[in-house]
Order: sequence, then structure tokens, then C-alpha cells
Amino acid sequence: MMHLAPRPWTWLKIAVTLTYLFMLVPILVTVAVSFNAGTRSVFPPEGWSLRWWQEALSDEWSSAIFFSLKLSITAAALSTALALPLAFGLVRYDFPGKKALVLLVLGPLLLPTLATGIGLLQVFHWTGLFASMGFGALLIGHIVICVPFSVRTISVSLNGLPPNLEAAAASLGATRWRILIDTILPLIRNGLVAGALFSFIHSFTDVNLSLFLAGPATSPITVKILGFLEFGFAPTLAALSAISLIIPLIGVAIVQRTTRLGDFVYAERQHA
Amino acid sequence: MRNGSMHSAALELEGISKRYGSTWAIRALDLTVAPGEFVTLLGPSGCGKTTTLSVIAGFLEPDGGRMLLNGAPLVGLPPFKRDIGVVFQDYALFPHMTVAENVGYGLRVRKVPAAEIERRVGEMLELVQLEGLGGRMPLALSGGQRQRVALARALVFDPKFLLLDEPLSNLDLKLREEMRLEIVRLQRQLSVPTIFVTHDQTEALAMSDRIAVLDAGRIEQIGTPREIYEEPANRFVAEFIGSMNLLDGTVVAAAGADGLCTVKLGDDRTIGARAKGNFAVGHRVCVAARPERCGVVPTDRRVENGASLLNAVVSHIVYLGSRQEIHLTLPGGTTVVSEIVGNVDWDIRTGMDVTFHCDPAECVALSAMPGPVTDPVTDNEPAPGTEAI
Repeated sequence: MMHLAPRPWTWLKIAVTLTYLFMLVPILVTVAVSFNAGTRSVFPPEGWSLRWWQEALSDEWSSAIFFSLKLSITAAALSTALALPLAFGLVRYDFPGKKALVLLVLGPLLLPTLATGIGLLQVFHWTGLFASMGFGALLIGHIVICVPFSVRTISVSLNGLPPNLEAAAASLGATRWRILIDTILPLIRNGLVAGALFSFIHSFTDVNLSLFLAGPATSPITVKILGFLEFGFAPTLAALSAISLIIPLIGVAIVQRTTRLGDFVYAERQHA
Repeated sequence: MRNGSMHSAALELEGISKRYGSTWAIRALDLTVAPGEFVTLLGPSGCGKTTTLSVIAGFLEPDGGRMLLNGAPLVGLPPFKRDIGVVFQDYALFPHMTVAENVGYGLRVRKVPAAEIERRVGEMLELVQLEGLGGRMPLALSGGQRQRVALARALVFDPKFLLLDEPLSNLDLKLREEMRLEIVRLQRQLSVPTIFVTHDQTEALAMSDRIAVLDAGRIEQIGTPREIYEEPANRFVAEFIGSMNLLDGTVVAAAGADGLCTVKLGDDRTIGARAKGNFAVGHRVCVAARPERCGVVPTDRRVENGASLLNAVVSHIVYLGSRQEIHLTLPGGTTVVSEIVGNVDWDIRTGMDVTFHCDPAECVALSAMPGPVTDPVTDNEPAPGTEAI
């Protein structure tokens, strides 16, 4: 069997290729379907047209996309701002109840978002404020499910800071505040950016949580797509799916130019 | 010393202690550094030297004791208010700032005008021979250059004191020797009182005005490099600095007017030595003699009058080029070394019976017990060996 030595690599290549095909083909099919000329969502498309894209970009749908963008960007910004002090406390200090706090922070990552959604809905109803919360309810929910991503990437960055830098800055006369601004923030920038990006994607593509917290006037694109599905799979939905795929990809493409996202995707395992 | 006036000392530590859990990292440490003085804390790893430095810099708060910098108390003052420059072992340069920004940082946080920062950074870079490298990033520099940047950064704001934490240990030997001279030159030129931490005795001997030898959180001896080398106060210092022949024995004749006592070794031979302590007949002592001050001659050759003579057998000879180490075994089984510069002028071979000789004035008799021999009044703490873990 000696002559078969290269085999494992061959099998690995085949496995990887199949995995990618399995992930990418449905996406390509969906994109192709959106160009159907007829009213049925079929593959291969029956004739070519842009009519469904036109419909997907109409006011009705584009307002939902903008609503989603507003929600995701705000949630990403606020969850990252919240994650910075959290990550700092968890990485730098030991205090009673630290383990509980870690679980609490990372919990939404482990729990089904569905459960988080139901829980939040009940809490909001209990306070009696749900009706008047609207966008606020969604925002709070999205921050809760996004914080774990930012906490993790920022923790990775903080753990990677060279030792003694802060001591050096302090000896040179920098106050804690200046050390944060001049030394820590610039050096954990990648973790902040990556955390914000992952949060944005997670929020933008979320449907489970939003399902519970959305209202008629406050529906992210994902919830709206789900609602429309009840009337059948029109090619409009294929076009909308493509759009909601492209938006996060654009985000990744922009961030990838300045930040090595891979560091966080792979490093997470070591620091989890 | 305790009631020293404002300007008699740059830095005074009185009874500084620091413990981690139940382990004392430093214990009732007293140390005074004069203005412009270069003092080295020398000791094995874990002796408390880096802890001492962190306490002075303000990165750690001591558990007890007083610290005065130019007469003003330091304890409780945050590091950024202490005006103490620190150079770290790993340099700790800001990787996202240029060399000039690194060096100028201490001035920037002090809100010095930009034009003056530029001028002073330029002067400082010139002083550490890095002219023209201000625009580089630290990662683009060699180890020696980073070291110079770290020095310039710690000195540019005219600190009241300079702390150097093993700054040479990451450099290769040749560069290390060069930087030794460089650091001493800078320190002299700027006349900034300095504490240098190292485990390298050669560095300590070559650079310091005074050396404090630390072990287990206590100062074993403090003195000039010459005093530390020639007059070790106890067995720890004798063994830690340089190489040393140590011979255990019992005092058979107490020191007379010449300060020399006679010590009987296990094999009934006697050796003369300067007594470092008030030893009476019957005291157990340890005689310390430097290998380069001990000689070896054939058994039939006469040695100058007054030298202590011991029979020995050559166990092996180590050829080191400029010098040779003759390793010998005494009748009791003790090993001693004689270091000879150049070549031996007679035919010496392994296994040969020879005479090992040393001048009593070059030998010191130390207390056989570890720790300081003197100061029984202030020394009311348990001996290091009995410390709680």
C-alpha cells in the first residue's frame, strides 16, 4: 500500500471541494433564479430578465433593507462599545463571579437566539414598555446577541498586547486615560474592527430573534422575507436573498483590506 | 543615613517589603542611592531584584516601608507622577509609533510644545547615536538600536531617577559589551542616579559604582565592585560572584594584629586567611580563595614564605587559550581550582601530586553559616533557611 501514500491528500482535496460546492451551489442557484423571466422560481431560469431585481429594489423592500442596515450598524457600534470595557475586565482582572460573568456574556452565543428572543419579549412585556419600544426593543436584542462576538475578538487583541507597554507608558508620565487612548486602543484596533464586523453580519442576518421583537413598522429585511415566504417563493425573494448576501460581503471586503480577520476566526479557539 | 537631609541621597528605601501570598519577594530592604550614582541589584532569578524595581517605579505597591525620591515620599504616588525613567528587558517600545514619537512620548504627555519636543528628541537621538532614524518604526530596528531608543525614551524628559531592568540580556555578547560602556557613558554624562538590575556579575562589576547582592529578598552585601569581589561578606556572595574555592574548617588560632587567623581543614592541614568576623578558636568557618590568586607548583619546588601549602592531586586541566584552569583534589576529597594566565612553565599532567598554595592575605575566612555574620541586634527575623513558604 506504500504507493498510495499521497492518497490522504487527494481525499482531503475531494472533501474540501465537495464542502465548498455544497455551500456555494445553492447560493449560485438562488442568484440564477432571481434572473427568471417568468413568474415561477425555477432553475435553470426560463429566460432572462431584471424585473425581479427591479421589484426587490422598490420602495417597499429597500426601506426594509435600510431599516436592517440602520439596526445592524447601530447594534454593531453599541455592542463593540459595550464589549471593550467588558473584555478589559475579563482579560485583566480577577474578581469574584468572573466565571458567571463570562457565561453571561458568552451565553447568547451558546443559547439558541430563539430562546433569547422569547426571553427578551417576555421581559419587555413584563415592563409594559414593549408597545412603545419599537426600534429600541430590536436594538437591545441585537446588542445582546452581538456582544459575545466583540468581547471575543477584543479579548484576543488584548491578550496579544506586548507586556510592559502600559507600564512603560505610565513611567513616561501617561495617565490611565492617556494609556488607553495612545497605546491600548491603537493596538487593539483590529479586534475592535473585527468585532464590529462580526456583530454587524450577525445582526444583519439574524431572523430568529427579530421574529419576536419586530413590529409592523419595524421589520428587518430577514423578517420581511420570511413573512413573504408564506405566499410562495417568488423570484423577488431570490433577488432579496442575493442582496442580503452581498451587503455583509461588501463589509468583509472593506475590512479585509486593513485587518487580518483570519487572526480572529482561528485565534478564537485558543482564547475561548 | 536614616535622618539624611533632603539632598544627601537621590533615593532612599527604608524597610521596603513586598509579599506574594505568604512568600516574601523582598523583605525589609534598606538601600540608599546617592545623586548621580550607578547602583546594581545583582542576584539569581527570584531574588527580588525585579520586584524591588517595580516597587520603585510604582508598578507594585510595597506592603511596608518608606521610599523617598530627592526627599519626597514615593509610596502611594502613581507611576505617572514619579518622574522615573524605566528601560525594560523587552524594551517595550510602542510598536505603532515611530522612533521619534516613542522618544518624544514622555514630553508629549507633559504637554511640551511641539517645536521643543522635536529639538529635544533630536538631541537625545544624537546622544544615543541614532541620528536620522527618527522616522523608522521600532520593528525595523536591530536589537541594539531598539535598546538605544528605549534608553533615549526613558531619559528625554530629564527623569529624577533611571531604572534599568536587565536591559542587555536580549543582546548578543559583543553588542552587550558595547552597550555596557554606552549605558555607563550616558549615565555619567547626564548624571542621573540609576538602579540597574541584572543577574550577570560581569555586567555588575564592569558598570557599577556600587553593587547590592540580593538573595531571597534580602541584601546580602552592598559595596563597590572591588569590595564585593575582594571582600565578600558571606558565603553566598563569595560563591555568587566569580568563581571561588571554598574550604570548610575550624579556627585553631584567632586573628592577631595582622587580621590573619589559622584554620584547620578536615585533612589536618592548616590554611591562613583574613578573618571576616570575630572568630574564636573552635569556630566553624569557610575559607574562600579566588582561583586566579592560587598557584600550583611541583612538590619539590619551594614557595615564597608565608603561603599556605596543601598537598593535592591534579584531576584535570582545562585549556582556555589565554589561561588554564588546573582542577585539583585535596586529600579530603574537596575540589579546588587554580587559574593560571598563559602557560604553565613546567610539565603538569593529570594524576600528578602537586603543591597547591595561596597567600593568606588573598584568602578570607567567612562564617560557615549562610547569611550575614554581623548585626545580631537588628537581625531579629528568622534566618533565610527557616522562612515560611
